Amino acid sequence: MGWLSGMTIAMILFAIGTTALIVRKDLVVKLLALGLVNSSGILFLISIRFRPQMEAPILPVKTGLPIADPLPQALVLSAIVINFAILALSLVFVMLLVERYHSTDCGRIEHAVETEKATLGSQNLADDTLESEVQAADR
Amino acid sequence: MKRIVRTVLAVTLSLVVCGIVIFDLTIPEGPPRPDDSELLAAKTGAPNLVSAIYLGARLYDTLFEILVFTVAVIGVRFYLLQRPSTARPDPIPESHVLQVSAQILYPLILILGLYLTCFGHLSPGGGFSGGVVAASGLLLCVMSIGVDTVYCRLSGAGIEQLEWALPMMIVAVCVLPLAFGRPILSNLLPAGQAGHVFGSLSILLLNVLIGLKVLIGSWMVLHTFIRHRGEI
Repeated sequence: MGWLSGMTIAMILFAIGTTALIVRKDLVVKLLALGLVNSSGILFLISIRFRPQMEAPILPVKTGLPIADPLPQALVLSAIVINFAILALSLVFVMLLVERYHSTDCGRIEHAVETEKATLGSQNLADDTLESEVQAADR
Repeated sequence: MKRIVRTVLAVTLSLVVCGIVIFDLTIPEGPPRPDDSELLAAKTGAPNLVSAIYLGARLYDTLFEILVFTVAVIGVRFYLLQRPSTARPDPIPESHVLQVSAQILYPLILILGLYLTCFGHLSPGGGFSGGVVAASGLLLCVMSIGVDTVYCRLSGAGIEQLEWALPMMIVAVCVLPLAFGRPILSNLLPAGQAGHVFGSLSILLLNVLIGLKVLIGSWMVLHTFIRHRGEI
């Protein structure tokens, strides 16, 4: 089982998350997949410079073992906070979309937006023709 | 047919990205040299090297991290406060067991958050994790005594003004060393004996400020999501 390290697990999670992000149509599931991709990135960065026989980077190390690299761990903290921020904001946008189109399916939302655009366009077209007719009548 | 094409495309894309990462990433072996880490710990006075990095050597990163967090809280509030608020949100029918156990647990969890925040430079923890733990304690409090009560008590304590004052205070802590003739983003207060609770006062101060900021920000997001969840 030598291949089963944090990095391989992170790659498998990344592949699952990306696949779900592209294939699934539900927006909430897409957000969950985005969270999975983010977590896999965090796991990957942590396990780049960590081996099972290393100590946590807190001095003094009593056992005399080498310590894990603290730099990726410090950088990953920002990734976690930004993940939270992105998820909260995108949940708000999903809520707004659901309130307007009553669906979390992105295909249906796309269809509804297209229909809305088409009706708006035809209305504008009708307004334009009406205006040109009025102008012609004036002349 | 379209679905199959999409699935194949997605699997190929993820495998290609994984392959690039596996075969192209050359990882330099070996842990950091011990003298480097001891130098860093002695300079900041924090034995926890992760804290020493993100609140000492790379404070700039943390500053912008807090900025991103603040912008997210502002964004959530900006878009959701335009929605009509749920007039009288039906209390979620909690079971009696949950209510009683939440009432017992939430002070303990708040204290655990405080401990993680204050001892972040000595042991695993820090402002971000401590703040989130305390915010989950606040969520338990909401479950046990209701969202409106908690909101009234916290607003009475001036939590909304504090939310906007805290980022300013963190920036001030980062900029104030200029006034003492030291470079910007360096330690505001001198580092004392490493391994002591008050051994690195500036990291302790930053941890407490960040913990409060994360606690209040998470509470704002939670409260906005509860009150303005809209009708479907």
